[in-house]
Amino acid sequence: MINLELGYFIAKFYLAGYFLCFFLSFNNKYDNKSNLIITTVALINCIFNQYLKEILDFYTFYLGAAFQLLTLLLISIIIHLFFKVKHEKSTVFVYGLYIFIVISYLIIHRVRVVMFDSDEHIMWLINGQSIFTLTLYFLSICVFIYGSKTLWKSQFGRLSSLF
Amino acid sequence: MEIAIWTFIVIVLVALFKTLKFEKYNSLYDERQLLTRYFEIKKINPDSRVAEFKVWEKAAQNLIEQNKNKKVDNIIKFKVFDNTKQLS
Repeated sequence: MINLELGYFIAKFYLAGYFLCFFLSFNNKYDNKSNLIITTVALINCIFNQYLKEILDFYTFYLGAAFQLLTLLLISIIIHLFFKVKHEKSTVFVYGLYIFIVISYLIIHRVRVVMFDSDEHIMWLINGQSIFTLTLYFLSICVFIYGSKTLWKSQFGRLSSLF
Repeated sequence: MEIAIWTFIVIVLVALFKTLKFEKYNSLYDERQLLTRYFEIKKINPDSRVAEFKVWEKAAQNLIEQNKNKKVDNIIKFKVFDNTKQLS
């Protein structure tokens, strides 16, 4: 756990980033609906996360986070199948990032609760894990922006046919 | 609790691979892609296609009119071959 004020700042920054990605992919009418689905589900997850954080205690904190991420993946898969939208490669890449985050959560839970039962001796590990997850979330935001970049192509791509 | 989440990871991974395989081998998704592409092409400035067709039509009409005026019978006839045709 890094400094709380810095953590809240990064969380706000990431929320803004997710909202930007949602806005970009919502405006993209022509292709890559897969990106829209994963961004909406991730944004809802971000907002719901703030309420869930207060419910969880020391023993279920990381397990709850892991469970939430996995439900995110499952819900997005179900929505893809329901609306018959094909998975893009970028979406599958984001799934992979989220599964890495889940595995890191489970490892930190194992070390913190079962082996040490305290935070004092393993602060370096917790810090490293939080840095790891934050970089992966940042990478996921970059991939979302890459997925919604076709906005430009679909809006202005047919100027060449006009002239 | 921890084991439950490990099993949940496995379930999610299996579901993901199953859906990817389903999407790869089901023709429904290709058809949808083709339809979207068709409508995209249809939206691209239909006037240009009509204009192109009109230009081609004018050229064809000009060609036909010129051919009517300049029509020359260039076929050389030999009586011998006509006779053979009649025989066969």
